[in-house]
Amino acid sequence: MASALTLSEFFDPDFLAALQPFSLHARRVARDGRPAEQTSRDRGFGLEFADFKSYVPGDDLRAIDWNIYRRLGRLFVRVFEERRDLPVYLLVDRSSSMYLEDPPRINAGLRVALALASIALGQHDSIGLFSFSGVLNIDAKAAAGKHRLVSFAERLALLDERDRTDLTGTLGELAGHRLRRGLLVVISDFFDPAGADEVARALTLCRHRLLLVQLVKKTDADPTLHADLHGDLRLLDCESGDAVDLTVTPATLARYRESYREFNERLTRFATDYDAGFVRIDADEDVLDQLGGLFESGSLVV
Amino acid sequence: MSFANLPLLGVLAGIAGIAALLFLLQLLRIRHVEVAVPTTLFWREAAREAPVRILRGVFRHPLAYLLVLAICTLLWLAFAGPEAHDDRTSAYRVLFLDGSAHTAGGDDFEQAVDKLKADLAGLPDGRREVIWGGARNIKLLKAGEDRLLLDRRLASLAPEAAPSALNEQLRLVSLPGVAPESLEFVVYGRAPAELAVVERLPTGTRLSRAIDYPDGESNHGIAALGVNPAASGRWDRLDLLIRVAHSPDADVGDDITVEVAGAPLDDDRLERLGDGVAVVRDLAADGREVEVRLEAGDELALDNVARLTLPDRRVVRVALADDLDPAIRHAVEADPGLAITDEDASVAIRTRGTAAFGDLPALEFAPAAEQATAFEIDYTGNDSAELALRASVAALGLDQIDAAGLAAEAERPVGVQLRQAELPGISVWEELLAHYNFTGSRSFPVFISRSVRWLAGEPAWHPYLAAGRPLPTATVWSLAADAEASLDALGADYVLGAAGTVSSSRGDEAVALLSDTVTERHPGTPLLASQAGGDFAGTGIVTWLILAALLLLGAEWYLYQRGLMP
Repeated sequence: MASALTLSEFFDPDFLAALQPFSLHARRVARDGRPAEQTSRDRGFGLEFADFKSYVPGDDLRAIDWNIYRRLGRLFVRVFEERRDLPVYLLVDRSSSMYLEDPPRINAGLRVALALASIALGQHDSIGLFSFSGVLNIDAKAAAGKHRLVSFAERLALLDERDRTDLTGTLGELAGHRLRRGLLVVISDFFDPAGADEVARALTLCRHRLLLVQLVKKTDADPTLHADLHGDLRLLDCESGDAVDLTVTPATLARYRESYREFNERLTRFATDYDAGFVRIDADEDVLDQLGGLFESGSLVV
Repeated sequence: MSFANLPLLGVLAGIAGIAALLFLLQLLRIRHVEVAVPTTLFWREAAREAPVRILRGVFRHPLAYLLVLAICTLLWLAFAGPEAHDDRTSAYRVLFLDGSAHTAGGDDFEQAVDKLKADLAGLPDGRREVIWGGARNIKLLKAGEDRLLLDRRLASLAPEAAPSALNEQLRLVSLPGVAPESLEFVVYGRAPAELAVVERLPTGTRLSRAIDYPDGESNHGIAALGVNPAASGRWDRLDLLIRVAHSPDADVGDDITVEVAGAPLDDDRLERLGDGVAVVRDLAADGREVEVRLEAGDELALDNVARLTLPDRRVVRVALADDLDPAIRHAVEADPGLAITDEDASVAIRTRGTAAFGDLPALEFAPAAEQATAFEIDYTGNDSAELALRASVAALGLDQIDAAGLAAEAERPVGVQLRQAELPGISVWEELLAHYNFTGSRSFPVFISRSVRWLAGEPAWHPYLAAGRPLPTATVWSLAADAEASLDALGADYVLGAAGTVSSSRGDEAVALLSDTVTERHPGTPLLASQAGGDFAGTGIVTWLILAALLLLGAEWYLYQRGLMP
């Protein structure tokens, strides 16, 4: 079992500096948030003109558009769009499968989580940290402020390996929490025993915008790259301990690849249908390069 | 097709056993290699399509089984040693490497060895053997032994100064039941074969020579070197005879040099009699070594030098009683090697029962009434009476006595009786001397002379010692328990080996080559050309079988790496 990165290993100033060009934008954030930079449905005293409305007593006289009054003889006031923050909820998989290989997938997961937290906190959005395996853990409630990045990283570093994956149950539990609507980032390998369909169904329960970060390895798609996966095998599920005995043949490999391809297609189709963000991160490659593909032209709009 | 290491039935049984064993292994439940994976989610479907093998379950990999069976069968066949049969390779071969003086000239021996090795490479190990034909015939390589052993065994061998033992080997082959039905006897070297021997070879035996040596190589060498009692009559002197032989196209040469104990002999003393014969007269018989050398060298050096150890003949001092028949004194006085004395005598001659001269080996004469047999002999040593009797008949000259005539005159049998004693002694009826005219016979002085020397313990001496020839036994005097007497008693000859030295009752004695056949480069009976060379199919078959097995192993490894077979 490989060990996860420590705080000093993944809290890399160069890595964080490289994230500066990236920004995260929501098409529209929920009302009642804190003032920030995201476009919201709130109207008030912002800088961006939004609309006109008829004057009613009590409106700010400074907002009356006197030009319209001169032409039409009626009082209208200008209303402005108020900028709010986007709550970003990071849901990190800490099941055993994330810690199995070398390097473990959790390393890439920690870097992705730190990167998104850094970007969000940098633009005054709030960040909440949840982790899951068989149960949901609330590791850090949503909070804003750039200064919180270090404490957030420390929380990430405290994540340790737990038992089996229950993403569907976790998403159901998360939906039960009355969180302000925001962006839910699921960082996981999505290897839920319930299958991709159940995971997709559970994701629809969430009222948040979704960004799915699938952590993969090359051996997932091509098991022949795994040094031990040949001949007569007893495959042990690292989470459940379930054993599958088989003989690796071209036929079995073909069937495996077919199953894995269907799994990925289901995730991708869900992301497309649900208008969710989706990125596949190779845990063996550099995370920053792969995030560059997600933040096309420097900005990710969710 | 046959197999060198296994019978055909064993080969087939082995293949069947391998097939059955591999079949069972295919059916056996395998031992899994356990691998932990992040999820078995995607493998479950695949596992349903490819469940693992279980005992008595479905035979799932017939092609893999066939591949493994093919590899194992090929290796098994290679182990069995298949041999292709044809007329050329089916005969058993005796490869006779001549290590005698015949092949010692020039690079004859090296040629023979090279040819032998080349031929061996093409012969099946199980149907050939190699014999070294030197002073003694030795089996260098037995049937079935790897030919790589030959180099090490040949390393310490070189042509020996001995005539060839090829004819002895061929006589052995001629014995009933010795040679196989089909035999090719190949001679590597110049060893000549006698026509009479070749004609007696069995029908299925083919005698051939591996190398066709060119004729006409000239050589000369010493073919005879021996001594004889000196013609001058002096007991302690010898005449030395030297004979130089030569090949038909070579000169006799006149380059003989003689050294006695390392000191050159004056050329004046060498009397050349012509036709290569020379004599040195009146050499002192004092046990020194004579070396005769031909100064003009030739390719065959082994016969250009010969050595001989001279006999050590000393005068025997005899104490003679006065009351004996005068004929005895006359016989002793007539022998220049005997001296009558009263002091320091080695042997006494006296009437039995008298105490004259004390405890000395004695020739005694006794009345017939007191002695059951005409000759009673006391001998020392541990030999049986029968062996001692056989030796004594020649040593004492008893074989030359007219026993029948004496018996007729005496009107009673004339016999010999032997017994073991601390001192040697001979007792004879005195009536033989006075009444039965033994003294008047020609054998009487011989009997007296030889009896005295036998009693004095004078060792035997040999007129010559030649390599490869039996030890000359004409002058065996003693009854000592040595190999000569023992072999003589068995009716066998003691054949000397190579030139050099041999240990006898006299100590180390020089042996010379002395072979006309060698020196004259006698070609012997012309032999056929050998058919032993060429490639043997058996070795090739084994090689190809192993190569095929390796090829299939490579294919299996490739398929395994590609995941095309379990």
